[in-house]
Amino acid sequence: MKKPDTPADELQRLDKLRQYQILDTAPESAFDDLTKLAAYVAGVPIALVSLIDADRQWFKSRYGLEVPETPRDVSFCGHVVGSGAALTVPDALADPRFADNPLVTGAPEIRFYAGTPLVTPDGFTLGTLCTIDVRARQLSPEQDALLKVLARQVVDQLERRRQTRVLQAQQAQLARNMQQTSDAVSLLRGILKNANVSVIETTPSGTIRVFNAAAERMLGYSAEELVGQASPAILHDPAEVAARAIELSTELGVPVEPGFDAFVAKARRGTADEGEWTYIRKDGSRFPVLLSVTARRGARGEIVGYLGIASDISERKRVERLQSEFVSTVSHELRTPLTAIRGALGLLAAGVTGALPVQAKEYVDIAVSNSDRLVRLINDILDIDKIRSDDVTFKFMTIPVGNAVKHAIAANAAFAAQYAVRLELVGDPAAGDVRADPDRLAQVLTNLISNAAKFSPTDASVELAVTRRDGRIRVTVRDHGPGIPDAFRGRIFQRFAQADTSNTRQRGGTGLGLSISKAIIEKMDGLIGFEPAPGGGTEFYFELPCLPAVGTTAPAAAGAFRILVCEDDPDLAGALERLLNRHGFSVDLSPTIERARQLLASEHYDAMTLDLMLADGHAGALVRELRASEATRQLPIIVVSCVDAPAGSVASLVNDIIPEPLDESRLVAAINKATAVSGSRPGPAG
Amino acid sequence: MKILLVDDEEDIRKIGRLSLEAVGKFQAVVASGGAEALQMAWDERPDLILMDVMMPEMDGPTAVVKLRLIPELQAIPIVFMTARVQRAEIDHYLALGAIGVIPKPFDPMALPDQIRKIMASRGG
Repeated sequence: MKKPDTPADELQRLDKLRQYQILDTAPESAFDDLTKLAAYVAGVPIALVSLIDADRQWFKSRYGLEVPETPRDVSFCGHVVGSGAALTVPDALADPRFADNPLVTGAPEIRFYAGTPLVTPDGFTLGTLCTIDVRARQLSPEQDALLKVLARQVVDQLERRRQTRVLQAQQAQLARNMQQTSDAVSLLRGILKNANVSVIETTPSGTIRVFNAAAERMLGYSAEELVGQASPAILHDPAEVAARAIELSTELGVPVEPGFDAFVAKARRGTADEGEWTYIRKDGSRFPVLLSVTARRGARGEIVGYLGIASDISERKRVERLQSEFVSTVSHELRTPLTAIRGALGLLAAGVTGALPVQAKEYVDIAVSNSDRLVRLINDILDIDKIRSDDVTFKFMTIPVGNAVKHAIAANAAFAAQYAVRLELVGDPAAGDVRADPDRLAQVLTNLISNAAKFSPTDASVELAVTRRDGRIRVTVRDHGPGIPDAFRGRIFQRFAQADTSNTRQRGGTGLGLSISKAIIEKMDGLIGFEPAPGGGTEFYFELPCLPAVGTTAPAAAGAFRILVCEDDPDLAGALERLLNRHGFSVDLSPTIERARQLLASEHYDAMTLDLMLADGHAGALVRELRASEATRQLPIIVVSCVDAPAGSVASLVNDIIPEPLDESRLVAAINKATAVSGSRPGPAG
Repeated sequence: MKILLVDDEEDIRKIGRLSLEAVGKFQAVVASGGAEALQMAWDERPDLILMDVMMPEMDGPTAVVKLRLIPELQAIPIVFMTARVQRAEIDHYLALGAIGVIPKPFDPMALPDQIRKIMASRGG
């Protein structure tokens, strides 16, 4: 007996067979009809739809046979699959391949076999449609042809079943997707409806598309009245909008139209836009809101709409007004009697009303120093309230921290000397600039130094140091005093916290210094804290974010062109510097407009690159200044890494604009071109 | 030098007067409000007016505006005295034409010197 061969594509074939999900399924009339027809056409008692699995042949349909399956090895159909060709065996007993096959020598005693391959549209042979007789015989060519037709029908049926299954699976998936979408839509609707803030969404040109329930309540319009018909401009005061448009024009360096443009100018550029506006209700009444506007973008980054979320801040503004009125009133009410007290005492103490007996003078002096203390206290309370409530304008500048610390040491040396304490700067202060208000920074340093001095033993030193760590500048003030008691540690930055009430009068101070310092440092985006110092005492520190370094870097090759790179992103600044150095240019860096101005005034540059948005604002004004000045009118300016191409006047004043993402070769080419034109190298600082 | 001190608080007037006369050796006259200040300024023709800011009925700034409308009194220099000394407020007072601002509470021993300094920085 010859076993059937395994075809070369057996693994794929089996996989294909699985895809039809037909093995071990129940008999079906469609297939049974076909085998009955096959038996009739061939005039035989047995006809089968046989599918060849890995180790067996399994019959989807069996006409005239009880057995549902047999091992593959003994199957005749296996040979059809092995060769891929039809097989006719007129007399099995006379055929050496099958003469001793158990299915021939035993049940069902096969003598005649004719099997046609069942071939899938993509060419895999799954099994056969075969006809079997217990007597030797032949088929006519017509019978053969008809059996081939029936085989195609069997394959059709298999295909149809497979495709139906695929469709059903797709439908189930679609139904699930639809349910998910429907759930998501419900959720979003629910959020819009129940949110306590007004949500207004518009088309890119400014027509309202979404006007949620809260907006309806707050403004008195119904969504129907406005959606598709109106612009949010009708909710605003035209004068306020016009004023804001002018402010924005200055801030962004591009003209901003009064109208819808004023609401979205910043959002369009990808800048966060949150501000206070006045909303006007349908009935004309007004209320203040905090409005946040963002742009919605599509897959290609194009703007598909604007979203405005507004919350009613009437209550907050009312409280703010009350608070600031309170502060003013308290300020005046407290200071008035104090003026009289201090004034009268001052005159008494100075003997203007006549000489005082010694003991009287002693007590008058006590009264004078305490009313001075009261004045300082009131000032401090009002100070901290002002800082917290944003009433104080911080004038931010770029400050080299090392210098600020040196100044503070000099300014407080006399005070420290009163306690017989020396102030020392330990080590070289790390180079670095921070953005801070110089007066407020000095206030913090004075506070920390005076605390350290007050709590130091006599003849001790207070050590200050300036270090740099991970893009932050750290200033430490270390004393050798008794340290902070454990119980007090958690409260030290709170108002009026003083560890040692028995000594407070001697130490002076209002108990507010540290909480004011904390408010100041936090306002400048820094942090403040303390640690026990090794060897006794306490080390107070504060950290502020460091601006990228300014100034010359790699030594300039003689005759190399000097480029000023204005960039506040430290990574990008570093990359630009390295890129230009590699191409033989000498580079100075500035993260701020202010520094750039200083450098441009004192150094000569052959070209400059400029990121229009720097740490201290939009550089449009700087460009105009440079062009207005004789010395820098011809200076090549290349705008780099702008999110939004500058329109209008700024664009026409610069030599080239290189958008994000940065094309390095284009930048280098632009600089080469600029420096070729700028010609010979004049001497330094013109 | 004759100085007109205007303040609605009697105690401040007393202290201020003593400071100006005994310590500063100025000649001092006083008024208790904006309206009286206008009258006193007309009657006494002082060389300087020390004007409190917060007063009921007519406050310091209003009184100053009215003073400036009277030709004979226009040229009298004004110094405000006030508890409110934020930068914005100081700018406001200077914009009204004051030549200086003295914060309250003031030290009566130092007040005359402060006044002299302000007069000097005007360029006399």
